[in-house]
Amino acid sequence: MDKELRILIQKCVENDREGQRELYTLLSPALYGICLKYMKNKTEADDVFQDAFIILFQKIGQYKFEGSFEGWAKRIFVNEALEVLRKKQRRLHVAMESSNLNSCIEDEISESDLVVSHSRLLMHIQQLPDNYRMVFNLYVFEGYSHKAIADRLKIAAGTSKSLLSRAKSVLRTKINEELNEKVS
Amino acid sequence: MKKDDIENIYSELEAFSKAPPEELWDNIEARLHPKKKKRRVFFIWGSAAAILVMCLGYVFTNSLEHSGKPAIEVSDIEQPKSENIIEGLEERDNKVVNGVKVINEDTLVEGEKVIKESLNHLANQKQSIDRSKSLNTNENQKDVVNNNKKLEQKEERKKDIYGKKGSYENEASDANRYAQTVLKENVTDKQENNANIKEVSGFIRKNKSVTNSSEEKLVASIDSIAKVKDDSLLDLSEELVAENKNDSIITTKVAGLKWSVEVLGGLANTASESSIQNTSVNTTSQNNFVYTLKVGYALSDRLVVKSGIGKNVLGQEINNIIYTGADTSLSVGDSQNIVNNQNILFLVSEESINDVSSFVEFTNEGTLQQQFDYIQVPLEFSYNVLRAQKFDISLGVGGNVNFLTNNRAYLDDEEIGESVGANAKIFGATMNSNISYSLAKKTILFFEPSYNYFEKPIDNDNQAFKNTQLRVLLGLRYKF
Repeated sequence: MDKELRILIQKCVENDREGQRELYTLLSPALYGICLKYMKNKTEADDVFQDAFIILFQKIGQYKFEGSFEGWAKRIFVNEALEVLRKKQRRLHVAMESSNLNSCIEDEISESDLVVSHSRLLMHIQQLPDNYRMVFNLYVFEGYSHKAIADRLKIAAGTSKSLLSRAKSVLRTKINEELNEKVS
Repeated sequence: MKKDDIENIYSELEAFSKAPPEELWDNIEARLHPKKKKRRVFFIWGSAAAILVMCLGYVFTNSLEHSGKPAIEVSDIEQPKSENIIEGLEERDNKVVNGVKVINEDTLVEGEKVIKESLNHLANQKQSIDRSKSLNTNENQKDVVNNNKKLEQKEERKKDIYGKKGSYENEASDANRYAQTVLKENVTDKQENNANIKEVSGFIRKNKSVTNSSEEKLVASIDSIAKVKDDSLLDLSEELVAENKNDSIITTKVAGLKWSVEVLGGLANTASESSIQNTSVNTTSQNNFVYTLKVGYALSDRLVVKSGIGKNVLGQEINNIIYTGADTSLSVGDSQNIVNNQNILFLVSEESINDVSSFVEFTNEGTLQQQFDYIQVPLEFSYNVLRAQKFDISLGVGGNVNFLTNNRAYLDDEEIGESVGANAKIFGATMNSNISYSLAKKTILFFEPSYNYFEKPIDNDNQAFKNTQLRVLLGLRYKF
């Protein structure tokens, strides 16, 4: 492990304000990206990001300097995002929900020459129903198997496969529609 | 778009990253490092208030302590049994004289014991002073204070010895001579202590000069820190913005707090309006230490209902009351006794004094103190009339039920028994004002003067009185 990162982690273990600030600066873009991918909009992503960072600083003493620190931190953020979504689902008692809300990311999109920009794709992912998005993110970005997703979300492996398939189908349709609009 | 192309787009998004908004760090930092200053302030103020309440309690409880000596038992005097009252009275007078002799002898023996104990105590103190002399000079300062305390104790002992000297002169002459020798040694010790005090004064002067130079250095370093802070003024203002945001959140939460618990204690000055045998008596007000634990619930933004449990003390001190040692089986007009001591009869009405004087040649005059301890259960409503940033003023009214736990009567500071006819449960009414100062978000120091009225602590054919009480209490309230 990078010696500087090790020193930084040690400072955070000692609750050093400057050390925490430095680590935050180093990790926050990637971790904020995770939050945006998992949550429906920026407001939800901001909440998860703040809560997960607090957890990270509180639990940083538990990190044993084994394996990637970034991977360890990322797991905290993914878990926090999944936990928030799980609570939200339980609260609303909605298995499938439509996503009519526009993502705030949309406002930030600059019309570029890219066929499908990252921001645009992120917006489509955010517009997926929560359970589609969770399975899609875990499978595509985190590399979880369907069995692991089933264990983590307490659903059947078949359901995971089905949700992933539907998520991909929705995304494919949206991207194709977008491209067709551009061509026409 | 082909399926593989889409998968490629996904994989590109895997490493997606975006800088979060700046204010998110401010929020995280504020949660990681909450302000601790106010907690420290609360701790200091809370401790100061607790110490003050404890000191008040100690002072007022101590001032009411009685000697604890057993009452002189007049029961040793046998009452006349003769049918002829005059003969009976003569016989009883003789026995009174004999009884007094016996008491005097017992008292002298007791006095001798007291003097011996005093002398032993003084000898022990002398040894401890000698030991303290052998300690090194760094401990001189403590020794001076301790020795002065010991000297004060010795002075008090000396006064006791001189006070008792007259009564026990014959038996205690040898002891007094020894006590005088010890006192001379005390004077020598005191002179040595004065020398130590001078030495300590020297140390203090040196310390002051060191403190002054430290202060100058401190001011210089604060100036330098301030200069550095000017450079990072922007950062500081950002921190303050973050703190203000948190404050507003916390204030909103505090405003929603419904429950409170408060501990309060202080002085209660109790006055009474009393009559015995249908004759008004001259009374003096009494001071006692009282305390209460209350739980409050906010019915609205300004109205709070409170209840709890506490200690209350009522009673009265009757001056110049006439009494005699008497057989209460004798009919003395309509007079019954007001204290459950069969050997002391209090005489207040002219009729009872005349009746008794027809067959008792002597009467005494003294001070009768009747004291009643209660467990008090209050129910009060408090309305907030003025609200400033840190200060609040509330006015309250309410009632209370008082359950009798202790009933004592003292004649010239000697316990003689219990007052007859004390009500086991009495009701009271209260009016109070409450001036509060917020030490922290949820912690409040307050001062509560109140006026209280209590109906008939005693109610029988022979005696009745009503108490009014002025309370000055200091307390701490915690909201949750």
